[in-house]
Amino acid sequence: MRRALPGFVGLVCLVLMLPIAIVVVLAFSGGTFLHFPPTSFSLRWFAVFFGDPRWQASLWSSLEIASVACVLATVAGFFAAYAFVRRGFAGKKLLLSMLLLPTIAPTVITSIAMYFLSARLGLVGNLVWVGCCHAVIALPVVLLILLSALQGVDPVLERAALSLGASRSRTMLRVVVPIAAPGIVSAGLFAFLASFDELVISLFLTNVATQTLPVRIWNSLHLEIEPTIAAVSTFLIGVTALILLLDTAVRGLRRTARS
Amino acid sequence: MRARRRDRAALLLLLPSVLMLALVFVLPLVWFFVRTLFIDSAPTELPGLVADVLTSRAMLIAMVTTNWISLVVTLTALLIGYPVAYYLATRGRGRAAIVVFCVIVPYFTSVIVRTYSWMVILGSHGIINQSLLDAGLIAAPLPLLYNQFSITIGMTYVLLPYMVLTLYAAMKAIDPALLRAARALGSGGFYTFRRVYLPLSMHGVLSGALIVFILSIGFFITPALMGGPSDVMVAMLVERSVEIMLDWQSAAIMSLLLLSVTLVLYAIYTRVTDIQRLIGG
Amino acid sequence: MHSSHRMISTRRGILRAGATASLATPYLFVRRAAAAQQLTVRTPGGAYDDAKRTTVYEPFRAKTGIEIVPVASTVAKLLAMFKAGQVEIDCIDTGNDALLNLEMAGALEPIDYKSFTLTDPADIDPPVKLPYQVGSFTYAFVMGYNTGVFPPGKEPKSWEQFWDLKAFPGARTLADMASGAPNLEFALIADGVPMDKVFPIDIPRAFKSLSRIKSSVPKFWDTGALSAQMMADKEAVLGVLWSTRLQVAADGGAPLGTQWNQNEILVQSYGITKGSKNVDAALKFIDYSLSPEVQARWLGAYKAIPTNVKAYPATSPVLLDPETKLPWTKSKGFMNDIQWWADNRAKVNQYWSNWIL
Repeated sequence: MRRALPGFVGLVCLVLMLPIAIVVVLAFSGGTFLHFPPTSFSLRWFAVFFGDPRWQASLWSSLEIASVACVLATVAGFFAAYAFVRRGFAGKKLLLSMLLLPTIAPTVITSIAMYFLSARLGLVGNLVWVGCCHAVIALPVVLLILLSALQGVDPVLERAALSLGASRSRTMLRVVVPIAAPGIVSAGLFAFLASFDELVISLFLTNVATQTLPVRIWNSLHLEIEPTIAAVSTFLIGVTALILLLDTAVRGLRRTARS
Repeated sequence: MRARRRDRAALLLLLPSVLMLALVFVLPLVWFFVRTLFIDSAPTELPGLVADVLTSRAMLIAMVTTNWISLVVTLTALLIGYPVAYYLATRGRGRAAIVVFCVIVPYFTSVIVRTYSWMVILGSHGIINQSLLDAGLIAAPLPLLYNQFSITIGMTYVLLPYMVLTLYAAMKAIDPALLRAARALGSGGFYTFRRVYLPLSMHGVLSGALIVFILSIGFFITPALMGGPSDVMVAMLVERSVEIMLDWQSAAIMSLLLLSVTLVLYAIYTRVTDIQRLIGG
Repeated sequence: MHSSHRMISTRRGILRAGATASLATPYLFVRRAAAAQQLTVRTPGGAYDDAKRTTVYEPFRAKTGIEIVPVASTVAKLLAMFKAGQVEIDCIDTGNDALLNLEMAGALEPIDYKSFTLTDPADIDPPVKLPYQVGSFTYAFVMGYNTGVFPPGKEPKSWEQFWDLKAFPGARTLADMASGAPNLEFALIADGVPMDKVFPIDIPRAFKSLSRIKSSVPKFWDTGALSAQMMADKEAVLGVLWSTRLQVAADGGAPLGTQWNQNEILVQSYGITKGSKNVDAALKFIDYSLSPEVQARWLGAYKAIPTNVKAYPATSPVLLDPETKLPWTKSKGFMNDIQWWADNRAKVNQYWSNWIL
């Protein structure tokens, strides 16, 4: 069993990467139509992406909105998860079910409902507001991840810290957060990506000036699957790879520096 | 005195989430339902519309299909995700980084392109079929696309990262000392896993399964693109009603039905599993 | 979090010009300055706008000073805007069926044809000149076939032949209910109903006819993109597609041919949102788009059929029937009855939902 594990994981990674590899190949295709394998190669779709200010404006919109959503959802979710895990109160199951509703409700209905509210408040096209709406949709998943993450923090450690004189906030920061860190990072990452990838709410709540990347893709894709989308995806994959590489490199450097 | 202070602390902690939920979600949604069902349409029509939706064969089958596929996807994601998360949690940094990359990178591709890639792989002239045909292993292309098989693959592909990272977070918190102690006391590998590791990771399993299931319920792009004509999910029906039929009343009723059924399933889930492990007493 | 991405607003196809045109104005500061300066138009987006920018939008701005701001929006969003009383979009460029839906919901302004200065309303093809919407070009549901499997000349020449699984074997693709309307008309024609007697559609008979080929349809398409992709990937060797979509695919190198016999005419139209503050600008724009020179310039490149009869001579030759020298839609097509569909779509949806399972 132990020996089979790396093999299995390797296989899974391969399967996970196969569609991505296809996307990257398609980004370099020369034809105007998505065809695999491509009959010709070119960088034109990257030129389209980098050359068109609207693509970049939409990328920035998406990043701003996703950042807002990430922060709001993770902070609110963290506190709520902590309340669940450390506090006792009645109706936990019921409250959790309520907090899960945003994910269960069909997105198009939620979007229209949010649109009516936004129109009334004059917030259509407001990036922070859209981030807020995305945060609400991401909150259930963030909450569930953080519930699990905080369950892994031994309450004995917290009590020990408190009994040694640390304040609640210090305990939170120095004991709870570090142990739950993988979960917090996961939750934050998902909130960010959920917002980044979100289309329907953005479609309704943004306007021409603040259009997000998925909306722009939908707009351009509406009639054909244009390779520009593959180019955008490849660019983002490249950025992610770079970040992860840097992160690993920095850790490696720190380790060698310490030794 | 202590109990009341506790409650206040809990309330304060819950406030941001509950406030966001109430103002940004519940309020507009309730208003939408009220407006669509009672204001924009004649109240006398309502019972008829509700009956139409509840007795619709298409709706019934869509409900069954939706829940069945969500269940299959959840279990598949769990079976694949658990070993991967375990590997991530117990191996060194370098390898973990690669696996993390593989797991989250699919997210940076738009779902359309991801799904198209799967069509390239599973299509009748796609990578798999073409290789098998060229190798002479099959005579005619296998129907790998436009059915529940492809939907399951597509959805599991998208949802696997949630499962893996949730489980990883839970497993990372497991103190290896406990496992070492168990082994020192003489228990074998599988026994340790079953009696020590699995229970300790159970809150991750409960959380991950719930996440994947409720996310699956709302899917419609992947089923629409990769499913066959008869693979209809409830979210697809709702979207069709909103966009094509412009029949928001039926859409609202279908949504309410979906919400109710999902909440019932949730209630069963919390009853059947040891949900206290996740949400505390 | 995975969200729903496929929103169908209309079923309109477009030709990709392949240009990397970018808007002249700094997009980040779009605020409705003076209302007369900008006109917000809901369009199918993407390459459709790219093609129209050089042939219509820019010349229009040069001529009148009014800047066209193309916007993406689904029909549901348009309806939501109307219900919320927030008219952000002045002019709507979409399929005539979607506009009819909006008209029935009370969301459109009537079109003041008398205000036209560049276009003579009498020149507009009568079937598309309606009180609340006017057609800007027509195209059609046509038969697409893979030229590798059916060399030109050997493809099915009628819907009856398309329905013949023995003589023309292979996977087919047709429109799904989710695209807006399934191809009931062709099902009836295949069953022997003459083109001019198709409407009002005998729904049970149409579905019975569809059942005959159901086993050969791996997937019904819900977007133009999917229809073209399926044909290009050879998931289907025969299909019903929008002519514009098919043309793009063929021009892009896919081995596809178009059979225009018994085509069903579809219309792309303009409408004006009720409550818009730029009705005059919208009318000017529509007037401009329908004028003969503009239609000739735009649709000659875009490969669709003009609605201004004076522009017919400029129609792309690939759209003309060599026998009659008329557009294929005029010589071999029949009109889609959008009123029938508006009245019966819900019923068809019910039938479809039961039939498809």
